Order: sequence, then C-alpha cells, then structure tokens
Amino acid sequence: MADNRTGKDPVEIVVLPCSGLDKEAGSASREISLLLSERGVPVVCPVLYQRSPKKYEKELGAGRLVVIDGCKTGCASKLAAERGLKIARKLTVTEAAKALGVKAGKDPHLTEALREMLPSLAEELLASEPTAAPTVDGAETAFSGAVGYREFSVDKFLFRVPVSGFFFNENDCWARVEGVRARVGVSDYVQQSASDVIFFDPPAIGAEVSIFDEVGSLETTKTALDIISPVSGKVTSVNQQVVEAPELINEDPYERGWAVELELTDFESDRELLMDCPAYFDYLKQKAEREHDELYGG
Amino acid sequence: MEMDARPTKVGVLSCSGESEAEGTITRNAVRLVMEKYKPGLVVSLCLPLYLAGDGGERDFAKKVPVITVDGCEKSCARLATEKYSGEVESYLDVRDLLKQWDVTDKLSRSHPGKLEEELTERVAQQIVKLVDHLIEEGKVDIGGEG
Amino acid sequence: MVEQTNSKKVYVIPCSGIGKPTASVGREAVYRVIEDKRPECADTICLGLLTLGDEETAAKVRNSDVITIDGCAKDCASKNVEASGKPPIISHRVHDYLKEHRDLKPETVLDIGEPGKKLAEVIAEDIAEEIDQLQGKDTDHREGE
Repeated sequence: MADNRTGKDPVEIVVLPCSGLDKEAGSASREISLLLSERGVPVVCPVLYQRSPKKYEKELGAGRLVVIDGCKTGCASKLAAERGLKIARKLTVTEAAKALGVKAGKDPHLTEALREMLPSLAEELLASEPTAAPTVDGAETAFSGAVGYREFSVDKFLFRVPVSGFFFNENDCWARVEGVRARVGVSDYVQQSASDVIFFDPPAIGAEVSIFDEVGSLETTKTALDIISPVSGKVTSVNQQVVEAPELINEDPYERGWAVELELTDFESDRELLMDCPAYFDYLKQKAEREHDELYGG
Repeated sequence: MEMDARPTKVGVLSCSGESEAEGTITRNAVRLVMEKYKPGLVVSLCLPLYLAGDGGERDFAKKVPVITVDGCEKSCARLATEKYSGEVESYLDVRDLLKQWDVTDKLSRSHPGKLEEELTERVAQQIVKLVDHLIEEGKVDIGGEG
Repeated sequence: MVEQTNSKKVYVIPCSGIGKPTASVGREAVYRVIEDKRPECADTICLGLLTLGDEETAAKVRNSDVITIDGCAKDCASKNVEASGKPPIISHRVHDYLKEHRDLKPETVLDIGEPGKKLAEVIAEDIAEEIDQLQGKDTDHREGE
C-alpha cells in the first residue's frame, strides 16, 4: 500500500480500514482509505496484516493510527486492539453517514449519496488532531503484575476476587492502585450479574472525579449501570480496547477489562471507605448467596 | 452425584431441541418451572454451555440432583449428564409423554400456539412433580421453602 | 439469473442457550431463515446431537456448510460445531447485531418481545443473503448496475 504514495508531503497518519466486502459501509471504508492513499497516507491491508504483521511494522511505528470501520462490528478496531495498537482516531462509516442523514445499505456497491460524502470524511481524517482517548500501552504502566484469585461458587456460578492489590466499594467496582495512579473497573460479580456488556461509554479525559462519582457507564443485554469510582482523581486515560470490544469486561474483568485510569488525588482518605480484597471476598460471598436467587432467577 | 451436605438446589437440564417441536416445548417448560413454579430451587443448566465445557455447569451438576428433560428419544440432555457429571436422578422424554397423552396434532417448533402452550404447561407440571418427589425423598434441602 | 451451483442444504445452528434472551433471538432468527426465507435450501439440526456424535446428524452436515449464531460471547454453537469436526463457515454473535441496533434489546428468554423479533429479523436477513452467496445464487442487487 506504501507503493501508492505520491510525491506529495506525507502526512503523519497511517490508516487501517476494515475489509468489509458485504456491505456498502465496508466499500466506503475501502474508498476512504484509497483517497487517503492518494494523499500519501500509508494504508494497512487488514487481511495481510493478520497474516504478516511484520510487514507494516515500519508504517505503524511512524504514524498515528487512524482506524476506519464500516460499521459498529468494528473489525478494524478489534484487530488494532488485539495487536495492542494505539488508535489515535477512529471513523465508523455508518455512524458518520447517519449523522449526515445517509443510510449505508446492504448492497456493497456505493450509492451516489454515500460516495459524495467520502472526500470530506477523508479530509476530516487528514486534518484532525487525535480525538480518541489516549490508550495505555501495557508495557508503559505499572499495572502489569500477575493477579492471583480466590473463588467461591453460588449454584453453578463461580465468582473470582483478586487476592491483593485491589480495593472495592459496595457497588462492586474496584480500583487497582499503583503509586499515584489507579485503574478502575467492575468486579466479576457485576459482569456475571449484569450479563454481556455491549457498550462502554467512557468519561471524558481530564474529568475530575470524586469517590463514588460515576466514571463511565455500561450497557449490557440486561441492564444499564454506572461504574462508580472507588477513588478520587483525574481521568487520564480510558481503555480503548474495552471501548471497541466491551465483552472484554466479561472475559477478564480485573485485568484486560479495566475501564478507566486516574491520577489519584487523595487515596489515603478514600482507602478508609473501601474494602480490601479479603474483606470484599467475605462481603461478596454473603451478598451473592443472599441476592443470587433474586438476581438470576436460577 | 457427589454431595456432602444435602444440596439446596435441583438442576434441570433441557435438551436444546432446535429441530423438533418437542424440543421447543421442552426448553420452554424448563424455563417455566425455573421462573414460575420453583424459583430459587430449580437451576436450569444450559446444554450448549454444558457440552462446550465452559462455565460451572458440569461441576454444579455433580453436586446437586439433576433432572433431564429431553424432547425425543435421542436423549441428548440425559446422555450429556451421564457423560460429564454422573447419573441423573430422573428424566423425562417429552415425545413419549405426548404419546401417552394421545397428542397427534402436528406441533410447531417455531410458532408455539395455544396447543403448544398447553402442552408446555403440562410438561412443566411433570417436571414439578419430579422436583417434589426429590424433596419428599429428602434429596434436596429446601429449608422449609419450595 | 445465475444457476444454483451448490444444491446442498446449508445448516444454520443456534446455540439455543436457555439462560439469555439473546440466545432466544438466535433461535428465532434461525427459524425465520429455515422456515420463511430459505426453506428450500436451509435447515437446522440439534446442536446436542451433533456434539454428542449422533451419526445421522453428523452425516447431514458432513458435506454441507454450517452457519452458527451464538447468543453470547461464550460461542457455544461455534465451539461445539467446531469440536464435532466441522468448523462453521460463518459464525455470528447476536451481540454484534445488538451493538448496531441498540434499541432492539430482547425482553425475556421465553418472550423476546417485538424488539427481539425485529433483531431476529435483521439477523435472519443477513443469514439468508449469506446462504444465497454460499449457494452461488446471483442476488437482486446486480440489477440496474
């Protein structure tokens, strides 16, 4: 794809489009990336990247990553997330089209209405500063230590609680503290009770949060719930992988499924209102046994 | 079934029965028992999850008395339980039940109507009887409830 | 119209999980495909029978394409079909559709309600088109190109 570069000044982005062949939005994703390629932007072929990730090492290391998804299935975003890439900007064609009153169809051939939008969408991607929340590269943070777990079961459900290093509030949200930073998420009990997470709406970067404030919200197939922060601080980043693939919260609620990272403002005070891991284990065991039947109906 | 103290739940495993009308009746009857007639006592086990080996279904089925409800003589639910968890306490074959009840109408797997609903209700009552039998035999501790 | 190049049935298999309304949506979608949209070239089989090694069921899918639709991220239909020795050619998750149709959340396991039925319809439409593609059928959208 780098072969398509022209003599124009290269811009410092690299594009990863989806390869959707079955819908108009997928075709649009491809067209936008071709327009960007004509402007000197390297384009990563998602299929080739899957098979030979090394092929695009240079391009991905040199530019800010722009992901173009045709639809909210988010295949390109998920691919980026799986590879641990930081997404600087993301475009979802169906959403952008909807905002302009255009509906992308099932037929993969581009309609005139959608085709007319594409150059302006491409220009926006070239012109904009990164708008996505900064991702946190696991290698750069201190939150990479192995987590041990204790388990208990209620009926057929097995609940896990970390052995140490986490602090919990009574809303079953946790904070994992490392120095002046903390990551926040929801417990295994929440993800099992609330069922499959389909959306994560993150807070704004820079938002000041007090203990017990809402710091993002989840929508599941069963309900909607707020993430209640166990700590006070300023939101410094959001887990973009969870934004793209909220089911990570179900799969790995304490590690890969973290939601938000904060710079702490007063952890010593907050700590007095929280449960450490052993206390939360005992608390949760009683709660789960008491509430299980009501929540699950068996 | 391994048990130390008496269990307080009964596991009921239904077949998935996509291709047969009796499968739909089976699935709905089990759900009805769990939601309406024995809430809190009956825990429905998910057959696809059970077969895939994920979740705690198989271990749970080793700890509680299990009733299997199958849509036909192929008995997927019963066979799966015997294979992965141990013998079942009791089982139902819904196709067999329908024969006993002289049901000869063609039933719908996808659009259950009045007849299918009535049969679902009758099958649910059969399951309830089996659960009550387990309670009478002292195989489950209901603590005064159920 | 291009002649049908593959006359074998396509088997569409839901997970049929009993615990989640999304599993009921998957089941409903399958019925819409095999009974309403593509009855002549699609059918379903019992996942339990396939997984437990029923020979009659295995013979049906052996030389046919299988599409699965899972009600949650546990992917039981996809995993069980794969474990039977015949990986699905296409796998769907109801959740991926819910992400695109946030307003079509199903109600309960026993009654998915109107939103659930609409979601099932969306899924069924997609699967019907996939079946057409698998069977080599030309589709209407080529007209007027």
